[in-house]
Amino acid sequence: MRTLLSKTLWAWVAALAMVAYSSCQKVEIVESTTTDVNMYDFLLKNGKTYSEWAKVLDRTGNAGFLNAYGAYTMFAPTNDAVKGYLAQVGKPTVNDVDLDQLKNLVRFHLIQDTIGTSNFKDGKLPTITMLGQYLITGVLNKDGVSRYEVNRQALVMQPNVICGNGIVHGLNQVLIPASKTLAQLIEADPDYSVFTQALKATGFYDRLNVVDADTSKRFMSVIAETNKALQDSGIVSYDALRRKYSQTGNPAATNDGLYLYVAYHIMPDARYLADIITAPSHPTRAPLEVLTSKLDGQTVLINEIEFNGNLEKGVALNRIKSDISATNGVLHSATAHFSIKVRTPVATYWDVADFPEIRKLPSFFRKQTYNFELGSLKDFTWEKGALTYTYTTASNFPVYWNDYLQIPLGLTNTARNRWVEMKTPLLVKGRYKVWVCYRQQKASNNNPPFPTQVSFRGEPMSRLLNFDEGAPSGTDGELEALGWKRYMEVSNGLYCGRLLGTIDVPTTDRHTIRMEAITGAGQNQNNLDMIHFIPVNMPQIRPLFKRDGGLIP
Amino acid sequence: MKLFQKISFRIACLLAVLSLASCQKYLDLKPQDGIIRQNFWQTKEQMQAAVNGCYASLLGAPAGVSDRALPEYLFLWGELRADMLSANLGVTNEDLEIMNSNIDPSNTITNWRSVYRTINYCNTVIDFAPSVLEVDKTLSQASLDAAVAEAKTLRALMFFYLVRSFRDVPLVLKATYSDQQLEQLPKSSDTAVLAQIVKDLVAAEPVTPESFGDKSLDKGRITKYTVNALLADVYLWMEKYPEALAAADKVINSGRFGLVRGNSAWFNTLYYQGNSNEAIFEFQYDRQKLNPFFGIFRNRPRFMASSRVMEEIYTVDFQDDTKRDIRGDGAAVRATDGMIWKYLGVDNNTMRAQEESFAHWIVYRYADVLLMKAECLAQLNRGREALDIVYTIRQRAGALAATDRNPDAQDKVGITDFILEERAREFAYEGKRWYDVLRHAKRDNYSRLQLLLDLIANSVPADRQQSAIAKAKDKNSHYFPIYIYELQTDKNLVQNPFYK
Repeated sequence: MRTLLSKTLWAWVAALAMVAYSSCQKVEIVESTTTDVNMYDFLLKNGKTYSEWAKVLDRTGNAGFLNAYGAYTMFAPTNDAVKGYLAQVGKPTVNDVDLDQLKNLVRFHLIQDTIGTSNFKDGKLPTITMLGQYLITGVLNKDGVSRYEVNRQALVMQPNVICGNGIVHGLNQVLIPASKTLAQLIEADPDYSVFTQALKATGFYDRLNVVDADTSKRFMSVIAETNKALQDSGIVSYDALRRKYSQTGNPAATNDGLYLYVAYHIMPDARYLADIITAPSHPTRAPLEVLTSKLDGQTVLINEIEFNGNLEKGVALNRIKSDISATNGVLHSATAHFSIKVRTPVATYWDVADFPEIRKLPSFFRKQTYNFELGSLKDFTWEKGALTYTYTTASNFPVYWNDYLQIPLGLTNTARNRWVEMKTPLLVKGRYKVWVCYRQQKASNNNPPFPTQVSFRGEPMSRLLNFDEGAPSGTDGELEALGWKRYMEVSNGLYCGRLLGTIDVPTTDRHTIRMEAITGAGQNQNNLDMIHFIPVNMPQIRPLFKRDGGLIP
Repeated sequence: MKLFQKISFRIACLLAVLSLASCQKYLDLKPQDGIIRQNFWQTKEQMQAAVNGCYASLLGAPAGVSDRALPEYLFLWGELRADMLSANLGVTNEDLEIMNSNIDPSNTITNWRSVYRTINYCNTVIDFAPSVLEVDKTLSQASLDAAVAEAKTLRALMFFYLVRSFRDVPLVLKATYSDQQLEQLPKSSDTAVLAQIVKDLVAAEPVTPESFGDKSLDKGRITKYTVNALLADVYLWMEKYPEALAAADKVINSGRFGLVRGNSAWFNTLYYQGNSNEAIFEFQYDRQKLNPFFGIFRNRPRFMASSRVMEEIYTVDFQDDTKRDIRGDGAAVRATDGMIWKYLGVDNNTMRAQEESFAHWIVYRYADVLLMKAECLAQLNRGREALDIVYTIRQRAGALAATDRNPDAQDKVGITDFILEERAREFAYEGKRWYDVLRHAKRDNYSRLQLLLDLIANSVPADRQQSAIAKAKDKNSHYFPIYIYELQTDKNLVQNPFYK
């Protein structure tokens, strides 16, 4: 009995000891998912470098939200930078600066998005600052050391600090928001004095002088011309400019030449150079007139285009005087005078089987058939499979230059394209009749018809196209009345042009044509040779084309 | 009696347990699936196996290590930053970042591990092979010297890739064979690394064999001519032209190499079969060990040729399509779809099957040595002789008149630029373009930095072009950052200041 008791006792003591022992060990349970500090804490932790900026955030009341959950990018100026700023505004400490001014300053340094330096491009950052002005980025090489540069004002000294609620970039200068509107910016530069007078006379000065509360409407981009650029074109004064363009005598009238000249230099939205070169054309304030752009080496060129086989030299933008931010947009500077090109509509006889990619293959171009894989052509996009550049010398295939494009189209056959899109050559704005010229073929007599709908700029044209249908017999006049024509010198209904409708080309630009199968399984043998865009007031049935490339007027 | 039975049963059990335990070798620390160093290095065959191991490491990462094969790194390092590649459907984010001049220390392409792995194998041979001489009396001093020389040359080649890609790198010259002697080395300057490379090569040159008596061994192992070709390249990088010229001449005057004739079999001989008369040193892929390039260029292609390649580098004769630079369409690229044909073709038209993806990685070939010589001659103001060499190369390839710069024999800069352009045509996608442009750009204290800036202006996307150019004006940016993992594990390493 005694032994049993003592045994039980011992067991209890041991168990208690175990419990007591284990309770002494503190089990560390990790409750946070990250040890990264938030932005404000980061500034405090690195007080040697950023304490002044932390004070600024304290004063403006941003410290709290920058220490809470979120996804921000903050540009944090160093202590020296903040002191430099204080010296600039003539205040001894952060607490003496006007609070509203300071709040704006902070908003200009904050973006509601996480943006690392790998997203820095030559132009504006993808997201706007909380102040509502864009920041631009770049890289500056100073004394052999290259660093990221923000707003052409500050260098990034400590990039990409990852915090719990975003990314911090340390700056060596405080970023100062733009204070001038576009109009003020242009006026302030004596090099633009003639252009400024033109702005005032046409009433655009006032429009460029407002900062719309709605950021979606606020921004504009101006390409200003310096006095020198105008002088190079023989325009020595505002009067000379007015005499040259203003035909109504009232430059403020929307149909006046001077008004249109100025309007043509203003684009909607904030378009920095990097934005200008990445899109081929840009709308302007001049109704339905676009500026085209391209990058040639390192030069940004405006309106350099090939038109009717001639290269028209473009106007270069001055990089140093461009990308200047204003409160309501961005200012660029042109090195030469340019204005709206007045063009009358001209007929475009587009040989669809002549495009840059096939020209690069001299052993195929006008020599052999070649299949282009999906995605290998710049100006053609289609759904699947290959697009065939077909070369033929067969006597029953008398096509222009002996080549055409074979486009498989069909709605229900999964091997064929439901659609194909093509980019036209440059079309001058105006009204045109559109003729699709093809070599009729019907894969099988049992096939039901499979009409194709053709749209221009997304608008369906009035008539459907049937690649398996040839022109009926009749005289040229009778055929034209029915919406048919022959386009090859050989007279045969199999080689025919089909009038699909009349289109309005709104801007002088390259536009998109889309062919869409709307019913049936379709066929592969859709032999597209040419598309004619002929101004409505011009004869539609001439010239005729020869398979050797010649024309019969 | 019962008690006795009980006890004897217990003893029997105990014995059984003990005897079982003794079968397990608790105390034997030797691995059961390999040979340890103390048992290795006994015979000359084992020494030779170790040397072979160094070569084998060039072809791919060892079993159990997931890493790119070395030639993939060498290709990416030599071509990604240059102007002859465009992104294709399968391009990775890391590829793109480098192509856009947006290099970051966390980019695994900047990981140098696979190069140092080969260096460590070479160091092992250099450290332990001499001990075989005492154990195996059939090993001659000459064979030992040759084996060490091969390892030293291979190590020099690896350091040469490192110094050109990273500039300052740790100079690891001792084998890492146990946990106790893991070293955390700091970086050595590029001058120190280059001096070590030259020292190793000069030591190796007299004792490396001229031939191993077999074509594939002569092209797949390091011969005296590999050493000299490498030495010429190193001296060229160091701007020591008389020395480079002497080394190149040793290869040229040997009479063992010649240019493969530029006929219809040229592509097949040089690139498909490999080990041609022109080859000096190639990584020997074969049907048993395939190269990584089929996956990179064919299956889900990461890259295609940039449009510059056919338009500006080789050009096309639109009037007469029988006039073709044989190195362009159907050799470097397939012009119709921009495929990198050099590693995919059997001949100008036929594509390899996947199991035929054994194109060798060509480190040096005769044409390279000839053009290196031309570069030396141009720098030594012997323009006429330099041009003669360039025109020999051009004639073999049927280069088009449009790419003939036709510089005057006195025009040093003109000739030098012409050679650089010719190298782009001759060695397209052989992992040399970036190093070639960098070597020309940095010559005479970066007097031709413009070459590099033009290269970037041509190859970086338009909306990043100005930033990329400004970055390239910082000389530190021409070299890769140290990969972040290496920085964390070796506290003595200091990051390249451009990436701080």
